[in-house]
Amino acid sequence: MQTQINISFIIFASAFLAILMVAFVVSFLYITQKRNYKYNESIIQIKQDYESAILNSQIEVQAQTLQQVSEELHDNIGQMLSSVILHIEVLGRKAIPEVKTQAEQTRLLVQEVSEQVRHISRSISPQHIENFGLKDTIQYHADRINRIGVIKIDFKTEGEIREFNPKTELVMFRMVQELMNNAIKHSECENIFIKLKFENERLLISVNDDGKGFDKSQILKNKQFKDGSGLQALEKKARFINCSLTFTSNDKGTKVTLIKDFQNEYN
Amino acid sequence: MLDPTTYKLFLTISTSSILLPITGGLIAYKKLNRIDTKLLCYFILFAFVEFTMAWTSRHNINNMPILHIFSMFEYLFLTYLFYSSINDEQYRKMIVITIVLFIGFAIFALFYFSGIFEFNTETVTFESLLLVLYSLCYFNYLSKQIIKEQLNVFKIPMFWLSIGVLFYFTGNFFLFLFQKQIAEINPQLWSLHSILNIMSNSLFMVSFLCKLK
Repeated sequence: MQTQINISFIIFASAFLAILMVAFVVSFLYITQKRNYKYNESIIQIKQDYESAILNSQIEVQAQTLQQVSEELHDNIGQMLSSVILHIEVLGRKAIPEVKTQAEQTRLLVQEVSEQVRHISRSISPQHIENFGLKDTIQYHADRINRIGVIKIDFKTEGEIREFNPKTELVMFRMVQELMNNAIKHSECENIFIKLKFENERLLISVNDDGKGFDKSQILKNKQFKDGSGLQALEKKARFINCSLTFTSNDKGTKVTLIKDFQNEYN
Repeated sequence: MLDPTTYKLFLTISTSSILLPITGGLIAYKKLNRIDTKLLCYFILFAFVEFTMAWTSRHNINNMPILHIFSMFEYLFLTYLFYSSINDEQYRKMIVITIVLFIGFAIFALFYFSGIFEFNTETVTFESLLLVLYSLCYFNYLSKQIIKEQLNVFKIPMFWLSIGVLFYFTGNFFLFLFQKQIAEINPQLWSLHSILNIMSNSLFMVSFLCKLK
């Protein structure tokens, strides 16, 4: 009888031990897993914060540099070109009739150069976007490219125009500028279509071209484009201002869409 | 004490519970990889053995030779699963050494302890001990992997299988060890095996279903 009780006790104790062991293993792995998730999340957060800080300072340094270059172009080169035009005018008045025509042609050429310098100075200036906003800055940039006449840029807006803070708008403009430059340099397109669509809650920016398209995975694999260069920089900028960025590309062209919620406004 | 009808019903439910992992495997069939498919085949074979054992037992035919062969196969197959899942040289070495030990012990036990027509209590007890050890090694390995990679253990079929193995073989360890005494003093204690069997088969079913989402 005593043996029976002892054996029964041992057997039930082993079953109880099995339950305890399983409970211990499951809880241990669950806790380890949860801790690890938290740890990884904090690492990702730190990485993102670090990237944002670097990008922020890059944008600020770039903005300052471009502002300086823009001012130099406008105040220095622009003034010098104006003086050259004045001198050519004076020279033309004093010259003999044959030289007068040539002087007039030279004056027009220099005037054209002066005009171009003024445009470049405006388009690279971060001040421009603060003064005129995203829509007008893109319009200005598109008009400048259209004047060259090689590629046609069709720029449209839809919905009631709303503003983001100047830094966000500057990043968005730089992204659109980069997308336009990519299309011009690599896609062999004839037309670029840019659209700003203001909806109630968000802004949709689409940049389409009718070029040869590209394979994103191939570009990222290609050593020539190591660091992901343009694409990764665009993705970083998108993360920086909390906007989503999607690429769709085939042999008929590329479509890039940027979506920025007004609620997630970066400050 | 259970009345004989209830006890028999309990045994029948326990035997039939092997259909749980098979059902799970068939539901998740499209998502199974090579090892999972082998596991499903193992459960189908297991079901065949279980039902044969139940049938022979009902007709008073000694089915112990089947148990001898199957327990060897069961050990080798589950060990193969642990060996494939633990990517660690030390653990793998230990598994290979214990396989040799186990086979040696099983042959020794067959000739010197329990014959082919008796319950192989020593072999099954040693098998339980080894499989519990492997499952603990696997959990230790998994806990290290969680830190290295972003893993969700509850989505890993082998995790559920190991839980089932740990649960079944720890719970039944003393039942196997004292099987001969139990048969003499109170055979109904064996119903504990049925409970553990149903629960571990449910866990084996989860090992397939966790692949679904």
